[in-house]
Amino acid sequence: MQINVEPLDQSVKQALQWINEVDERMGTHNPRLAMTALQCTLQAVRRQLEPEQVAHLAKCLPIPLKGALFENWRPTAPRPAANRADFLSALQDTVFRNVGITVERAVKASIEVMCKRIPAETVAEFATRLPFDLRSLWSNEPLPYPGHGAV
Amino acid sequence: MTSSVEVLDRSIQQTNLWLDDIATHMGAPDRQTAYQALRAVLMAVRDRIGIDNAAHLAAQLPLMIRGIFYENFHPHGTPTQEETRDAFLKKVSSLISPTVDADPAKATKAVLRVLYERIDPNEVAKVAGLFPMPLRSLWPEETDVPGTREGEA
Repeated sequence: MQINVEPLDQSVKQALQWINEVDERMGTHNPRLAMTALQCTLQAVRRQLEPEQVAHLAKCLPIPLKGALFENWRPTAPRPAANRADFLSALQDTVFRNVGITVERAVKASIEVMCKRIPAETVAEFATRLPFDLRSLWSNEPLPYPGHGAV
Repeated sequence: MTSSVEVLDRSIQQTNLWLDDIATHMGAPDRQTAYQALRAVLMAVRDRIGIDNAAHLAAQLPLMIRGIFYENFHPHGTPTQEETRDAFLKKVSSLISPTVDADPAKATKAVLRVLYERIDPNEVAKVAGLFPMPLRSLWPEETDVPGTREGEA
């Protein structure tokens, strides 16, 4: 690594902080796998969103993760998942199963880090677009779904 | 230094190469200038070709470069309507940090050349063809897109 351009160097550092936090929460000591989890989760969340919402989410991400968010984006052909099973099936299940963790754990760790590092209003914007039955993934740090706590 | 995240390390290496190529084509003194050129030109191209064409182009870019491409992305209001070379270069100029001394025409030509050299030339030709005739001379002649030769438009 030798980029030597302040905004890029900073964004790489920030991306590594995100990745390391996901890694800690997954408990796998495998940053490469944490990056995969984050990439897959960002793209699964993206599939739920309108282009303007994708743009809002992108603004909150370090440059390398912004690149991951937009990988193979087809803005005019959205395929939002209707429920938890659909949402999770879009992720590379085998990648995680091969190292002994569930795709749920990878998504949970990634979304927890997103919630921590992204401003609350942007989290609220994407959270309301996620399948309702995904919320049981966040028992400790629930997403701000409308009516959360009432059910 | 490596990050132990392969996809990130690979992308950093690719970004180093892109920045060095742009600096060389611009005759720029440093990577900061090359980065400002890359960022400004990618953003101006992205907004000029519209959201769907931009997504196709982005699919060809390395991870970090794709992240730069989508800096300050506002899909509403695109595609932008620059119809003349001056208008497009003015847009590029407005996106380059005032702390950097870069000629917008030189910056644009350098970045579009590196784009042509580093991704699928057919995709680059497709994007060049989306530009109005008066803007096409900013793209490399090798794309073979009508209007890319100086004085042809």
